[in-house]
Amino acid sequence: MKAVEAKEILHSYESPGSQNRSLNGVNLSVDQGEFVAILGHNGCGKSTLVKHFNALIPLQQGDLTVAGLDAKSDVNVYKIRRDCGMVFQNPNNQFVSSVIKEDIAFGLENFGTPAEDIPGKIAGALKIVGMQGYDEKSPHMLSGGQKQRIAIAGVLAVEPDIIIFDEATSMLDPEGRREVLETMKRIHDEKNRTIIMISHYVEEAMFADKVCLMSNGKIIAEGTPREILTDPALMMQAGLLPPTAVRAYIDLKNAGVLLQDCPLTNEELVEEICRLK
Amino acid sequence: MPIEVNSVSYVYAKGTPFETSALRNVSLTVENGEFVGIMGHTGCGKSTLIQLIDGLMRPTEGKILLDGEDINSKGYDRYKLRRKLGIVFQYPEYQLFETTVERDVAFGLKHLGLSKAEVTDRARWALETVGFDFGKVRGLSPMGLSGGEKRRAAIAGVLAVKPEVLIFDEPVAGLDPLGRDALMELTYDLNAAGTTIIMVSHNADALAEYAGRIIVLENGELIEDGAARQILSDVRKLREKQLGISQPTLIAEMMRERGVDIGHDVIRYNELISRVVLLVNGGVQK
Repeated sequence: MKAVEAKEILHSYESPGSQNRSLNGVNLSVDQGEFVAILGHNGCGKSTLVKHFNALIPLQQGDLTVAGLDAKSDVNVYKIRRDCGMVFQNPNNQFVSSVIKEDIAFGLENFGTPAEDIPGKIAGALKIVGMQGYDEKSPHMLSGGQKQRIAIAGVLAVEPDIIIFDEATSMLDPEGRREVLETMKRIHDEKNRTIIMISHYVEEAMFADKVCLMSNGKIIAEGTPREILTDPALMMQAGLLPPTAVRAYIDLKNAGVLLQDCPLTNEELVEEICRLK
Repeated sequence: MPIEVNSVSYVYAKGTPFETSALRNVSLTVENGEFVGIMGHTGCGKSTLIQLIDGLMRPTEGKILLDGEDINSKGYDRYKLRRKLGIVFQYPEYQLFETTVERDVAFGLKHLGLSKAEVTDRARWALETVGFDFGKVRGLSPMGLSGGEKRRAAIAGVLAVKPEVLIFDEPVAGLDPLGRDALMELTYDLNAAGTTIIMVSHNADALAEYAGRIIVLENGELIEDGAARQILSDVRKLREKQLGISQPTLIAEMMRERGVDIGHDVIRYNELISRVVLLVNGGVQK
């Protein structure tokens, strides 16, 4: 079973039949336990796409299964939302309580978790995001990175198979971004969850298993981070800039300095330059 | 038109159990035509500082002077402050409200005593400056624009008043890389044309490319104020203060650790490239 299987998804915010579409036939297949990064410029349709995956946007045309459930069928909406959680850009928009443990309990209660199981699940979720001991605190007293980790704990507590991060780091300071990225990696590696991440920061896509580039409501390319991020023509076509190391490779080449291989990371760039020296 | 912040402190919710000291004894001067970056991690008092400079809040202690006049003194004409200082808040797209883009951009012009034709000209100028085709966009609803377009439309509304000082709070958060570059270039052009720019940002790469001076706040105190090159190349301190480090600076540091020194002062991308070219070509000649 695939975690997500999307075939020819079409979507318009105007009306289902409109030609003014935000999604123009998206095909995407995500394996269970895979870490997928979706990159694309503002307005390319990436948020619209992932909102289909947890049934926030109903399917207009095409086929979609999430955790084996057919998204076309209305009776599956709640099951899909349970199996596929979502962390949004602004953690402030995701809190429902001024006490952290109550906030995390919200999802559990709504999904009918027996009351005696709730404290254990809250403690477990706080542990994974590294926020043990914060259960009685208020989310509003925390830093941006901490808030976002509490929002992640709220999603994790429900134990979804798939977690979507919709630009979950873009409002955070460098330290907060690092915290949230590490939490994402840990959930993937230790809990073996499927992660779908949307980002503008190409550096964040480097440790994904698969990178999908979106432009004008379509996935225009998918492959390993190395295949996609070191292809400047492709990146430009998607309205994105390649990582610094790749840009440096090209600009050095134009200035007459040819590195042996195109680097993906800063470490590789330094390695290539030192080899020349 | 210099801005002087004189020993300013600010306490939120003074006299309540939630009393929090957000700024403590901060002093700085911003001269005409400067491009100043303000850094510091979440909760350090950056936003409080710019709200005090913009006169949205009054300092608990100390003074804010604009052209030598205390903006919080009795009888100060706040109209001057409002015309001279423009502020672009974080996520300015949330402040769009009018029925058309043109009306939204022109809102701030209502009380400037301009003729109808002048208002249209200003709106046209502001929208074209942020990269719109005025004819195409003027009649559209601002709510129907994409995220990046909304951001630019909101900035046009501030530009239209032609403030002498523009304050930006995290202007590039949430923008894609090309949008980020376009916005930073816009601020550079405005600065080159004489506008003073004060920019709060976590983005060390953007500040390295454009800002001339950097101010660092930590726990409500000003801990650094100096040339951008000096502050942004001090990797050890930046790391200690949990601030962003620009990619070129990081790469130069990694090279240094491998015994290849291209200088301690690299902060910009073009510097990295030209130093590496020099290094490699120099090596060839030997």
